[in-house]
Amino acid sequence: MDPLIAEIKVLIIESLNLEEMTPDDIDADAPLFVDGLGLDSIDALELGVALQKKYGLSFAADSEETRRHFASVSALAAFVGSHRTK
Amino acid sequence: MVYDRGAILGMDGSVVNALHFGLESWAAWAPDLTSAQDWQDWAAQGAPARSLDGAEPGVAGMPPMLRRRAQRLGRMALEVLYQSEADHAASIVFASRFGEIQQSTGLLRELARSHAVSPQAFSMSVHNAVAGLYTIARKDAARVMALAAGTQTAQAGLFEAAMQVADGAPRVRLVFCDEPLPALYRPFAEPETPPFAIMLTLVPGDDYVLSWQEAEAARDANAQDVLRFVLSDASRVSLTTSGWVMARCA
Repeated sequence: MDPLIAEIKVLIIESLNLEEMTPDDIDADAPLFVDGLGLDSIDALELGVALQKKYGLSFAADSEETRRHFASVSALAAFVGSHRTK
Repeated sequence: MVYDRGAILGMDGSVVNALHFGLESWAAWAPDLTSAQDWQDWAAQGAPARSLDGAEPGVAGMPPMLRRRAQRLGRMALEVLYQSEADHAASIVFASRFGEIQQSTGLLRELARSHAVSPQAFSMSVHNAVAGLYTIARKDAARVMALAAGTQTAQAGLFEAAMQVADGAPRVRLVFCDEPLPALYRPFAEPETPPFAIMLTLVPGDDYVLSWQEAEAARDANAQDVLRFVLSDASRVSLTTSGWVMARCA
């Protein structure tokens, strides 16, 4: 498995206080928001800040492109892999 | 009804001298006093000093995806709120002197350090956030009012709840909660507040009365003083140094 995927799963669990959840519980290809993991808009902001701090990324606050990057852990890993500055 | 510059005013502007209410039930939780019996023993022993530390409650009734948003103070408040039935007609008065002070202080530190604060922590640092979280989780569309009034927070909470009862509310859930200040603020604090959440459920009735009397209290009462009074057979407790008193009706 892509080590970045494992790393992002841990980041999600820690930054969003997903108690009692392990990386194995997160399907890398399942939707992160509403369906699938069931995250909400505050989580989206929280995750954005966490990714910004850890990988030096920046996002357009509410664009179609950002929505695509946040669709799943796999999509996030692809975006982080190609855009990270640290 | 409103409480304005030391007087209770009716809707027509007339001064109200006393507020009567019934007490349907109480609930309380603290890390070292987790059952009703614990609190009764504590009150019977003259309210001995309590531990400033301790774990948070489980709030087993709340879905984990919402519960994760609350820190210890919020979880204590939720633990006592979950001991009531969901009831749209029973408004909630959330009274806390400092609110989520641990989290607010953490936010300020983070803002100074990195200029980027946690949206999740920020959303929960608003004073009425915990009560709001409860109403979402329980689908309990009760009216929520959140207040803080320094050392007079207990009196202000009681007045607000009793005024709502006097204005016709069938039931009011009055939730008090606070926890020790972060180390940064401790040099400025009065005696330390141990962590606690207390809920008093007020209904129309004649168990207690809030009124002004010539009294000489050395300090304003906190919520634990109020619960201790409720659990005792004392006839009254001074709420403020200015003379507001809560008394049992004969």
